[in-house]
Amino acid sequence: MSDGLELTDVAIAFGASRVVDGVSLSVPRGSVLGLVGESGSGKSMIALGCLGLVPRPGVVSGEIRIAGRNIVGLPERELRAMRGGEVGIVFQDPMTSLNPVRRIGALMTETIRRHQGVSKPEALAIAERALAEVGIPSPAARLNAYAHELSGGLRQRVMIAMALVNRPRIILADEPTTALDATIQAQILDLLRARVADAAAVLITHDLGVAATLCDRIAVIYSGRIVETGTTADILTAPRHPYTAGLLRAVPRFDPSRPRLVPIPGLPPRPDARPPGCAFAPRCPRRIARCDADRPALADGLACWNPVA
Amino acid sequence: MSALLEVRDLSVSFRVGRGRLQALDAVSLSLARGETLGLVGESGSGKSTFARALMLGLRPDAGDILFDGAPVSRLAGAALKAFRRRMQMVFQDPYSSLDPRMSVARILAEPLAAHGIGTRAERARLVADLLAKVGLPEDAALRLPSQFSGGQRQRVAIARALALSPEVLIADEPVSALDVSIQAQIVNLLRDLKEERGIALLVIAHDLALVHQLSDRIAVLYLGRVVEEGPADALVAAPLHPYTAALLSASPQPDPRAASRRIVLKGEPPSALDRPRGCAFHPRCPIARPLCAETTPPLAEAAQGRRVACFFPGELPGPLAGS
Repeated sequence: MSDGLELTDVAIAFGASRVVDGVSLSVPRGSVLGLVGESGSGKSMIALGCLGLVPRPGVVSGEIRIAGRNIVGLPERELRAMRGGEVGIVFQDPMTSLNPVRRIGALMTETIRRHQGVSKPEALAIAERALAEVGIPSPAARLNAYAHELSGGLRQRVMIAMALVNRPRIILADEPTTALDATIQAQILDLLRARVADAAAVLITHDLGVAATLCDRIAVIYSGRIVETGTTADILTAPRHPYTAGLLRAVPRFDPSRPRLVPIPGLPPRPDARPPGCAFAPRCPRRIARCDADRPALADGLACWNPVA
Repeated sequence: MSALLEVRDLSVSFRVGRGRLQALDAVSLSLARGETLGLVGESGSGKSTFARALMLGLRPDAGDILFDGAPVSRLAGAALKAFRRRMQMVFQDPYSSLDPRMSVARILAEPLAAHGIGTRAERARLVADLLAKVGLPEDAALRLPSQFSGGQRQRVAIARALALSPEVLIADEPVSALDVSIQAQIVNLLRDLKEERGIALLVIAHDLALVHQLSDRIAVLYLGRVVEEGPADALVAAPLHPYTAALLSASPQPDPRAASRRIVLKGEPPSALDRPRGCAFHPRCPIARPLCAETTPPLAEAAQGRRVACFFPGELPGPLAGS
């Protein structure tokens, strides 16, 4: 049994909308998986599923195993004990996830005491060390600050310190650098790379470039389904699914010949109106008759009837 | 080539509490007819203030904006209206920049009517032309903005900006609200406008790879000043300013080899309220020397068509050096 994160045939449905439609993933300890998709692909809903935070009236089915334990259907009390403890979370915008009326020190000692059962002075010492470990200057002084008094980059460092402070087995980072400037993004990616080593980490992002800098493996998600998984090098240099290949051709690179970008025509289907076969078929340049009739299953890291040669 | 748009020593500051925030400090840039200039910078660099100043949305402290050789600060009445017609803008967010209650036909016809262009029937024909130009179906005219996806809305916004056949189009973060596969559509559309219609384009963005894709020349802003300017390919292949080199290396490329060539800067950009002495970049600069903390390097000609504000230009190689 895996000591990391294991998803088996996970579906998250809102009425007839299966926003996540049968996702299986395995993230062993000590590895970083990039979950790459565009808006509406279901990637953030998977993160909420792993935290037991899918909003009503969403229904989760399948298995989400954290260190072997299936958390689907666990009572809220146990989920709360897991969040911020076994599972550390970094969201895109720390301003909305850090309580604005409480000082950083109070926020941190609360989660430390809840999960580690230590005294208040001990918790403060742990918090200060955690801030120092993520490269925050004068950490003792920052414990007295409010989130709004910090820059975006420092806030995200605080968020990462809080995600790591209870030594989680799983780290979920949902677009952790999207709101940051490029040079600050580079710092935060550097920090994450150095600090997530012991855990099983999932980086959720729309940006293949960000995934490239941090991840060992990449899973590409389209319309609620994984269409391709592989090592980062394979996905980026030899994509097999036409959607993966299309994403790569749509991104500008520093190439003096400036080849014209190749957009993907059309839009993804709504989750309550997917075509019967492959969800990407209507936009796919390699579509064959079978793509409209049969839904390709993910086999050997690929869900496609006519892959890129 | 003579400049269509020329900005000379433009300075803009804002009062913040008891202090003054110097958003732009003596910025000089020019745009020739049919040329694309990319303006790159992070938050607080002054890039959006620059766009606002060009659209006459604020009063500069000093400096001139010349359009076709004439200072725009002295324009009034009909001359001002004519200027506004010749320079148009596309904004970042296609969700908030279009009136949700107006049909696309009205959104596109309104600037025409305001400038007294054509009869009602002629305007309807122009609207159809504009929709075709930006790749939207003819029946889009009857629909409301809410009935379109983000990429299609940005096409509507571009069509509106094109309605008056401007000579200059300013695009402020035109694709950053869009998904990757849709971004490429808008980038290609902007590229076609430039290549087929000869519109001069000022592309303002934080994403250097995107700006490079579109631009003939690139200018890099840091804390309200131009630190480097030059031909797009040369600047990307061999940056002269260490900040440009760092920005290039920080641009996440989907390339497994890219990670090993990273330059990660220390610290965060200082506040424009508290600009460091000397070169504003020196506290974060990997190659700073004592001189940099004392004296401000002027923006000076470094090579053919290239300007840089650094005492040690080219010393920090960019991530693409030797590749």
